[in-house]
Amino acid sequence: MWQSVFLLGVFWLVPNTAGCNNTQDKTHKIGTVVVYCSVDTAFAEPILSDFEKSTGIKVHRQFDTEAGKTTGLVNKLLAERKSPRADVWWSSEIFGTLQLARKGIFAPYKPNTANDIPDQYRDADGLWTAFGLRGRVIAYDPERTRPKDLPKRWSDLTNPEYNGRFAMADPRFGTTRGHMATLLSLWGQEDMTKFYEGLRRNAFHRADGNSHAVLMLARGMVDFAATDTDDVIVAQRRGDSVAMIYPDMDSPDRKRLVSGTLWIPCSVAMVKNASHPDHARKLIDHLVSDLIEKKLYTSDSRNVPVRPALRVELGATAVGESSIDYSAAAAVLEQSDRLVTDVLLE
Amino acid sequence: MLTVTVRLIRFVGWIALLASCGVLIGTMTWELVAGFEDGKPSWPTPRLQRLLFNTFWMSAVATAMAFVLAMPAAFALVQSRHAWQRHCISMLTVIPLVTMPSIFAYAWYLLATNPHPLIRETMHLIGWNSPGFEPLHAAWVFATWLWPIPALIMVAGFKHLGAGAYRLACVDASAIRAFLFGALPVMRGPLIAACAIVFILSAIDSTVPPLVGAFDVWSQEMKANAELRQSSSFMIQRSWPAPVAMVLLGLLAFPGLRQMAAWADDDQTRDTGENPLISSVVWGMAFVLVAAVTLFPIVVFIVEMQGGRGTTGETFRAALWSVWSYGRATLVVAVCTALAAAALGITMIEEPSRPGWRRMLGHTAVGLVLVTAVLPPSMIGATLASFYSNELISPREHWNIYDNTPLTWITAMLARFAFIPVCLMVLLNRRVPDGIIAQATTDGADRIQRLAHARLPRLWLPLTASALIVACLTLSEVAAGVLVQPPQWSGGSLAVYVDSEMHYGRRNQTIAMSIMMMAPAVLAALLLPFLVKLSGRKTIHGRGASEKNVLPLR
Repeated sequence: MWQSVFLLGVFWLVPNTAGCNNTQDKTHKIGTVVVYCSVDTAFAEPILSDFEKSTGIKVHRQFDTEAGKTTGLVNKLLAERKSPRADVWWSSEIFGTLQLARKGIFAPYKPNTANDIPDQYRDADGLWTAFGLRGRVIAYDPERTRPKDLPKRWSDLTNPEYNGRFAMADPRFGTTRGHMATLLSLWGQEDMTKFYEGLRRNAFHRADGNSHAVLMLARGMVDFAATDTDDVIVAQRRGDSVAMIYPDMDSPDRKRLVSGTLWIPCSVAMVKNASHPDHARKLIDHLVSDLIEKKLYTSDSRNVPVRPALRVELGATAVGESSIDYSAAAAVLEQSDRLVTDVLLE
Repeated sequence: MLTVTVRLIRFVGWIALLASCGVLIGTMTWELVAGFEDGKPSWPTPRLQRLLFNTFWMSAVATAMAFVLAMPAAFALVQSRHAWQRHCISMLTVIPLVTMPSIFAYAWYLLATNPHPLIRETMHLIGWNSPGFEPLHAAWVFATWLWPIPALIMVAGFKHLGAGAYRLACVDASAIRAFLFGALPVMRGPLIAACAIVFILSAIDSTVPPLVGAFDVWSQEMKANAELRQSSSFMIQRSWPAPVAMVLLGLLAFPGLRQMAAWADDDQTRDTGENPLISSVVWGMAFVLVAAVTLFPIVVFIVEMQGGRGTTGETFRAALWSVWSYGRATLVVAVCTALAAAALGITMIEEPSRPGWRRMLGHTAVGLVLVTAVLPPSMIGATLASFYSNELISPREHWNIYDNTPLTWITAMLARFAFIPVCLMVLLNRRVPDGIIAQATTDGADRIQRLAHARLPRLWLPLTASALIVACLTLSEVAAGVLVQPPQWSGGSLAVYVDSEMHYGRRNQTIAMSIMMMAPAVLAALLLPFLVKLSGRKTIHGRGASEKNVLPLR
């Protein structure tokens, strides 16, 4: 038994004390950067591989799963705040990033390649940069559902005619989380509570993620699915009979009218006290460049560029784009999580 | 030299035990003693009650279905006329056990989303796409994955307990009736244990339910909790009745497991119940059923590949590239886990006449391994990740075990699967003839020398088989693996990658990768019966354990 204890000690002490500082000047660390990434592997992987090829810097990736989208990695970054393991945070949305920025997880960095990005998609202090929008939409099967039966606004989903016909991902995760927080910031707690109660009354189906909500639609299990534009496009390319609408975000009592739907950008930030800051900056420069925005638009993800010039060049439009204050939504994220747990899921 | 090597291996085995199960249970205990963050655990909320209820009936139905599937296989295994017939069914029995469970779910998922009108209608007809029945669908997928467990226990139980009753019942009943109503009731102890194992495995798996749309189950909540906070106390606080139920079920299985452990000693009672043997038609029917259930995913994948976009060659090349990119790291982890599990197995081989403190230590170690085996994988992953990423253990400024090595990943896999070689070694160790050990003692061999020269040569084949199973299970593990991947060590988990891709629906590359993920299982299926047969010859007084007519029946 004493042998085991002794070896355990040796096992930890030797590597942890025998030098090998995680600083850049040590040979084994040259050319390394760690990225926590919640963008779907299929879209992020080629971009990171290209970066590796062009710079020779090895990118260690930590992806998450569809079910635990973004929230898992956000909580991991928070848990590691005293000793961060990641250098770069590349998120498929912005709300978690704003939450992390507010909690002091990021270091300021203003990438040169992002100068043409509009101010609303860049933090004034350089804590984060956003690009590549995806819209929150309601997917439906045009072969099964007539246009007149479609909901016009998100709040319509609580109407009795949609009872048992609607699927949505777990609102504690991914873009659905930010979407619900946005609605809360627009509508207030009382209306949001009523909305959740309505969804429960209508027996909404909880899906594993946005893409799964679309698959439930394709399987004929539901008639409508709250999802992101990229999931609909992927389903359409797969040959599924799926179309999408961009519902307005008017409050349930129509006292507050918000035309258009929520468009959520991806976001990138440098982690404070990153082990490889120079390489992190290089990777951020690469990720926020117009080349990557272009790539994301031409991929199956179809992220709409935030750069006006690029939109013109590519002929891209964010249909039904509303004007939303992302930081107001991020400020109520935790309140929104509690409401989801206490009202919608309970 | 061999003695020194064995000492070293046992040393590594103890380290592996402490670093995996020891750290896991220690951290959980520490967190529980330190107290819960949000007050004491309360009575489950209505939502949690609903999740637990869903989990209970899903697992109960899965257990019942697994038994229904297992019975023909077990019957065909014990009553086959020819050795090749037994080998065929044995191979088919091994495949599901070491296959990624989400492979089975993905096959159904593809069928459920197939646009072909005939398939669509059929799926509609059997109610697969009907909302509200998702836990039932999950139960069926679990049954197709887990049926080999009751089948193998039934076969073993029949040989040791049921054969006599079966023969008596055959006097005035058909073979099938004699098996069902004569042999099975006598084997209820081991069968209850099998039930408990299937129930526990269905309840803790978090990969199958989401693929069939069953989200309101406890394993999904545990997975969500693991994403929200990497803390076992947080997870226990939110759903404490489920881990308690798992431990209670484990206790329920205990008498049956003890009974099975005793079979290792009572080799003389082994009875194959030779007569009457079933006809080829009955065997053929059983074989078709077993083959259909086991090979169903492969057939679905091949058919789906034909109807997809892009050429098959291109798809396979792209899939092979992904498998190569992610598989290298996973393979290293699988090999390391298998070796560490084998070392742990060797460490647990002790002599029956060992001193009291050593006996207690051995029992504690086995208990530790068994308790961690019934814990939800999300809890294992979250707890070990939170421990090893601690700044004191893995200081970020230095090269450290959490960032730069796959150790956390390996320890999580060990915590999940080390029970296989450990249980096998503890059981089979009893079958090493006393005479050989006595002779070695007379020749002046000490404890380690007896282990190295007398026991191990008779146990290395089952040890290899169990290590092979551990490697296959590690290659296909998802739920804990996703939480323990090292940030700065080359590559991620292949199984996590494939499982994640499955959630994006029908992609030819994902289907091709799923086929590739079954390759290790097929390989294991080809190798295991061979190893078991060889090990039987080596272990039991030179006689083959898996052969017919090992001992005279009368």
